[in-house]
Amino acid sequence: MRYSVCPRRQLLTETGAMVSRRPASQIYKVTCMKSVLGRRRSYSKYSLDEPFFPSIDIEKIISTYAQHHTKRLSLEDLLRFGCPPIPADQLVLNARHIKQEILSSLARRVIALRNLPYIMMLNPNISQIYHKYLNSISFVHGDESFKPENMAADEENREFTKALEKVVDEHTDAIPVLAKGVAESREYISSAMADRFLDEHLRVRVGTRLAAKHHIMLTKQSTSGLQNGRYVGIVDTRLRPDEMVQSVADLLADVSDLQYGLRPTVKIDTGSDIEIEYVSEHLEYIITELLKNCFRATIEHFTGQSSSSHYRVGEKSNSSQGIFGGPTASLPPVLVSISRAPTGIQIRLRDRGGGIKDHHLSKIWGYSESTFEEDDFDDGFKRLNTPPPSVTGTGGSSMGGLGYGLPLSRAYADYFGGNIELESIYGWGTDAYITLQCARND
Amino acid sequence: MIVLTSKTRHSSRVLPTCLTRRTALSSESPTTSLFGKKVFGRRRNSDKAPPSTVSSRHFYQNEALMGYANRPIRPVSLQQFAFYGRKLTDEKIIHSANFVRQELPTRMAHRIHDMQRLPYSIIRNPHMSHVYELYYHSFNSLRKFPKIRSLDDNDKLCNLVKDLLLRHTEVVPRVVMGVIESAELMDSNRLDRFIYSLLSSRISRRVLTEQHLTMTNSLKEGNVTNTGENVGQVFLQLHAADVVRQCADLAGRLVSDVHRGCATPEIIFEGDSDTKFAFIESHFKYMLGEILRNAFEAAASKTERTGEPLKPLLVTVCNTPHQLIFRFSDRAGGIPSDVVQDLWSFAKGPRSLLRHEKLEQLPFFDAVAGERESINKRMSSLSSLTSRPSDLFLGMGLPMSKVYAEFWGGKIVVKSMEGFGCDVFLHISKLGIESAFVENTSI
Repeated sequence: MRYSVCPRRQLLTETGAMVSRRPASQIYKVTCMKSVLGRRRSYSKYSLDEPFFPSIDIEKIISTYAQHHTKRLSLEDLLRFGCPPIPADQLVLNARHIKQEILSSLARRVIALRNLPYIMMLNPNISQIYHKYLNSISFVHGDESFKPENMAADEENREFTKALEKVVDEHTDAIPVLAKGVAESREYISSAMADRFLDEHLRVRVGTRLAAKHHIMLTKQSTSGLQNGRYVGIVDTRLRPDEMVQSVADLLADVSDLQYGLRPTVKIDTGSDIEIEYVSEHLEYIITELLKNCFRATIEHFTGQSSSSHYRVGEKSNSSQGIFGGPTASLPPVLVSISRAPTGIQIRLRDRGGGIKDHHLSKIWGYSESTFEEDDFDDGFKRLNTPPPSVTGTGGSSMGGLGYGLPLSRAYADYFGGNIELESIYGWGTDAYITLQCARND
Repeated sequence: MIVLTSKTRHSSRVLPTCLTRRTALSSESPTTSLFGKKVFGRRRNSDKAPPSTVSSRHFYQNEALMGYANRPIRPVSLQQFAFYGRKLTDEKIIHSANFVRQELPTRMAHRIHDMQRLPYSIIRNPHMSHVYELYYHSFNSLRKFPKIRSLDDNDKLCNLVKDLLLRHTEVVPRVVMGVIESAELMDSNRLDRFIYSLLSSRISRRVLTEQHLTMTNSLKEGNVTNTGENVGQVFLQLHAADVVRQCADLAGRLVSDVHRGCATPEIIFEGDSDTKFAFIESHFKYMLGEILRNAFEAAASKTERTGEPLKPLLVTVCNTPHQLIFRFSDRAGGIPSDVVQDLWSFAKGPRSLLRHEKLEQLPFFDAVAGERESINKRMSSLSSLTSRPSDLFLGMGLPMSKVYAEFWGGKIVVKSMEGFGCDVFLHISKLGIESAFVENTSI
């Protein structure tokens, strides 16, 4: 049975009551027939092309789960089962727990989206996101009326994990779509409200995806023998920040070589021996975004393209030379210092990129500005702000911004109690301070 | 310790601060401070305590004060301030004298009124009540001063005002002591704000006064046209790297005294270290002195603790048309988190009690460098820093520096990486002729 997904009808029929032209009685007949036949429904039979479970009362789910407040996960929570392989009965307990948490996050997101101005929901991008959330709720919740009582723990977990994987995939590229939708609706919502909405939305998203991906990885590591003693779910227990910085820097140097013909470098002057337990994806994203900014600023400053280049008094070489003669040598490296803080680590990225003007500094943590001009709006959204290369295998191939990099990085750092701060010397450069709460292996 | 007693009430000699008598409270009888410590009132012969204002007459006479407190403060645009002294004439001096004569009591009245509105338990503290009475009596002397019509009248005003400047140098340490003792009696934030406005206003009054005194001297010396680099004759041209090195030498000596035999970190400059800029020398050197002293002290303690060699201090200077920015970056171990949250507060902080005990040892003068010297002549204001006992950590260097920095339209930011090091950013606005800061700011 396939239902066609028609935008207009979706709006009218979001509770899943009527999706097709068929009269209600026929739908009821269909469901009854299925139950009469006693066919066990498993989650995996439904793809997201068939969005609605007619027998699921989604409104009821939303109202039930929205009242429950999710608890923020800590690194200890993520590591509490110990090293994989983890016995199936514990996995299934975790599955049931995060099902509650994820459903309540999703439900609250749906309600938040519903609180946006009506006109915004008619924007196809936002509407697409909205329906993704509805679908995800149905999917994760599943059709419990068809679950047999004595389902084996590992099978239950497997089914649930498959549903989770699908949902995670669905939402992977959601940020550019959401960003585009919000950007297009600028005239219908104030900047402050948009920022608030996006901030909350993205922070919750960080937590939900963390829980989901962690469970998926734990399951994979426990069932398929993929574990190597280093990763517990998505937590890397032997994460070396300096190695991560270096590999991100190498990748970004390639990108900037393509774009500008220059290869900026990093120089790690302290902390090469520090090892932590942290979610490597998060750190990778943060480092990527910040280093992207550092590199771009350095290049623009030293090739005279940025406004702050005029203030480089005292430089021996003027801005017009030094680009094509020894490109790496003339660019000052970004200095990276990694240090041990009492409850984790601190990383400082110090660049000579000309700094940020004071009035920009107040705006960079919002979601509406990017200082990068992108000719092709659509292309830009696709290329930029994609998840880190290690996750998807593809990756941003441009150095510019949606304008989401900084606030999103801060959302990642904040999640476990860390922070990102910027301090700038206009005309010289910027210092970025990343504080992470984590456990250290020393 | 040699004790000198000056027989004259208004001593015009500049006494080296290390030889001045230790002063405690000047209240007439021993009083018990809030901490139960007996505080004895030893009167300095050179400075009789102002008679007590605690009387019901004071209450009813307050109308005079309220008259002044209700007047608006007339801000002096920095542009006017900067360029007033370019061509001096008798009328200009007399005009300036009358302005000072009226503006000082008005500004003081505002601050006295602030103090009157603080809770009684705060002002009843002996330090605070001394400051209150000092302010009140200064206000009265200025208020009663007749209108100035000639240069002789101006001379009389200058003498009065010089004396007041001298007597008020003790305000800062007294207020800080008073605040630390009474920190629990009032909301800390409100108290911090009160001190901040008190000190800011104090800077403005002193700067205006010094400007007037300088102009009077210039006129006397026949130096009527001033087209030099000095802005308002109070601001001098400073050379960035030089002034940093000077302050570093001094701070280094102070720190070496405490940590015997410990060297001071090397200073590495980068950026526009050759820049010349205009600022009040004593203010700038005070801020720099505190910042550098913190850095050196941290480096020396770290070396003593861990035995690691000293890491150099990196000083980055960046010159833009509107601002001059310094960054002092050290690797001296950072600031512990329990201290960092109250770094900018006078009242709060785990070290406030410790600070208080140290303050009582301080000769009651130059809590802020150079105030005594700069009144009489433009000599180096660092001599007072030298003479301050080297193991005296007043703990108010940063909050005080912040008052000065922000008064001149700048800011100080401290970024600490605990366990690693500290970055201190000092932004100052430039006071050139086309500076937007000069156009838009007043003192």
